Amino acid sequence: MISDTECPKVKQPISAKTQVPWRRAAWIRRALLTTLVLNQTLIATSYMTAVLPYHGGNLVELGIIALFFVLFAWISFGFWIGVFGFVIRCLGGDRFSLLGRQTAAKLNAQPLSRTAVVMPIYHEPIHRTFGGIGAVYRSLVQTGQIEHFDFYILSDSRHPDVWLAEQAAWYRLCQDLGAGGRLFYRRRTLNQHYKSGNISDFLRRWGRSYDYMIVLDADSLMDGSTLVKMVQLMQANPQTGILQTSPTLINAHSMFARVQQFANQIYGPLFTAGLASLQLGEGVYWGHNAIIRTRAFMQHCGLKGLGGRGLFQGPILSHDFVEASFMGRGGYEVWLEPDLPHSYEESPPTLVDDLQRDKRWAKGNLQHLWVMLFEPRLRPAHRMAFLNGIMSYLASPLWLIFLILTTIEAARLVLFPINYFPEPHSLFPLWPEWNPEWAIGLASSTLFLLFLPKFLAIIDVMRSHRVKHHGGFIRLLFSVILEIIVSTLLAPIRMLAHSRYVLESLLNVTLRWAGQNRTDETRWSDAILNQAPGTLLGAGWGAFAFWLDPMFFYWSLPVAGSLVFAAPTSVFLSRVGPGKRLRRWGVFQVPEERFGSPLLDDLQAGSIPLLDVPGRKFSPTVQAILDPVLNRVHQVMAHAHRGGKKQEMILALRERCFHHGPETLTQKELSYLVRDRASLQWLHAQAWRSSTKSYWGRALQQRFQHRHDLTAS
Amino acid sequence: MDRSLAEQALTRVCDYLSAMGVELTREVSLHALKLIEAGLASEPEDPLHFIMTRLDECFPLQNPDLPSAYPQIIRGSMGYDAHD
Repeated sequence: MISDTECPKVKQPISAKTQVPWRRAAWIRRALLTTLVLNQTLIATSYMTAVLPYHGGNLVELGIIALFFVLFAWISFGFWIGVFGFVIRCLGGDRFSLLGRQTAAKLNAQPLSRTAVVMPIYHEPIHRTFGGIGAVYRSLVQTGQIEHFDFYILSDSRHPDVWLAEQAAWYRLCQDLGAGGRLFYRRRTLNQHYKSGNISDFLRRWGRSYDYMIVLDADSLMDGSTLVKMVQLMQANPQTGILQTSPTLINAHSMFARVQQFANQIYGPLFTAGLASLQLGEGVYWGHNAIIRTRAFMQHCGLKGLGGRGLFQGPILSHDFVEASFMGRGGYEVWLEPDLPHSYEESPPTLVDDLQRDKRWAKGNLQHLWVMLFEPRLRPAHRMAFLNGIMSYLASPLWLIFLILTTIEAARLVLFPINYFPEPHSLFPLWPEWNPEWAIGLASSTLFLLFLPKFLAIIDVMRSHRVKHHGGFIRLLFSVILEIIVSTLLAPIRMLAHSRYVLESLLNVTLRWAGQNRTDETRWSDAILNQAPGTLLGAGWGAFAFWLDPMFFYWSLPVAGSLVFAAPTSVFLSRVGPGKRLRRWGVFQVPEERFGSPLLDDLQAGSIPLLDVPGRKFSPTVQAILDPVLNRVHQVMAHAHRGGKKQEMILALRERCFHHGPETLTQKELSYLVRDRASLQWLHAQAWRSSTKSYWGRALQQRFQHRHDLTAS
Repeated sequence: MDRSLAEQALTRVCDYLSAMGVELTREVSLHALKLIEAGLASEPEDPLHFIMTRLDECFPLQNPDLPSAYPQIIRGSMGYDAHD
């Protein structure tokens, strides 16, 4: 452990006004992007105005034009990000990026420094989480640089059965890896400010012991060599406060996750390269798979709650973007480095899980509006990053309103008499004009913007000799076409869900509809119930469109049809069977499926003996009381009470647990009990001394039987 | 058929000892049997309490070498409003 005085001093960060080479490049690239997007949007909007029968001559049409301007600009922005990324990759990478500016020799010569690898968790699947951290640890051992790294599992879990299992898994993992004194576990009993509070709590206790902190998510996997390179990059660039990698999705099994994984691996490189080329040293932080300069972070990135009302009050839910902007305000650079390899995460397995995550992100991103508008001295690029995040969700209700307005416009034309004099005192009639060929042209150009980057991605795969990674050209092309169909089916479902989340967030309420899917695969009953509002809306809208005008019906079909079939889409995509079948056929194939990945192989080998003896047949609480070694582990991590009323309550709980078992205690009571060191010790001793007919006597007999069965098998 | 009290006592003692990392050698087993014999003689109806209470005295049970859950805390603070 190093003290504050021994900790190497961080060089002074650069001022925003300091001339560094990338700033000029960033200015030129951003100006070019703005020019392209604005021009493209203005031209498209003028077409749109011409397409509308009254050319913007009434309020509905004005609304359509205004929304079209915003939405087209949003699509155009995405399109040009993809094109920028394609060009950068064709040129062999960005010479202004952190990696692009170093030679391998210079980088390898950088000495490593004390680094904490931290994984904040909250009720995560234990086998996957601890298995993942074990795989990362072993990978670091293989680099020969493990002595520079410590690992911290930072738990916010609330249910005693969860955190007791975590503590047991931590002990077993320490034993398995020989990582005692290097792999640590800390649980907060007070979960203030969610994940950002968890990280801040770590920094307050141990932040001064480390120069860097690498943050992992519960489903993150990172190769040891990548972690070493990240530290070396930070060492070589003392002005860098945060270095974010671009995580690749892996380990997908369901149809939904495999589609997401394929899209991420094919299109991801283009878009992240494009984004990184525009952000340069004013990038964003995605909350995990990133390295952070701890002292700078502690100095500048403390998050206060928002000071507004409703949504804009209290803790910031999506902390990462805000922390990146504060780091920028502190004079440090934030880099996204897409060329750092072997940085992985996983996709949610089902659409339901994906939308559940989006619900949190929607609220978090909308909160950024407050930061974007009122937080002083943030860099303009970071304000734009907030806007980008906000638009990711706000675009959905805007699309929905756009569709509503176009339906009103179509209905007016069919149902109401034509108004030749929309201007009250005009002498000249205004003849409504309808140019279907212009409308088709406009729709085609929108589709072009949406889909061209996908085909650029295919060219990029071919150019970088990665075609065989994806099963050959035919399978690659087929997979891309299938992915386009799936994403087209999902887009309206997402639009409706995101619109609901935005509305809920802005009104600061929760509009409950049906229950959350708790199984791995989505059940039919859940899907039908969950998607019912969208299905009814889609069917109603489609029927109305058909009644109004068959041509309008055909226009509405991609959206209405997707909504009508939302339930079967959701169920089918959640299935693991079709996902596996397509994998066998080489559809949606990714390199890790074809060639394997040491990290993934390590994870899937399941070599970590977590909770396998005496087996998951017993609850973690029963194991904590019965297992002689685990009981001591939990005792060490528990507290000693000093008496008083709380102690009296705990003594009563102890008796109840002994006589009737832990199932008779509430979660809160159990939490009190198993956090008390003396109670754990007492219960352990009493359980082993209990008669064979008692609760614990029977539990011990089951334990013996289970161990016997395990040995026999 | 229900196992006898002696069988159950022996199973419990052996299970505890092996969980604590004690190798079940001939000597240890004989020692365990003697303890059970003493337990049955002293408390014929429920010898388990007697036996398990004396386990610590009869066998060299060592506390397992546990890793430390976290290192020494070196307090620091988070900076708020650094721009003010």
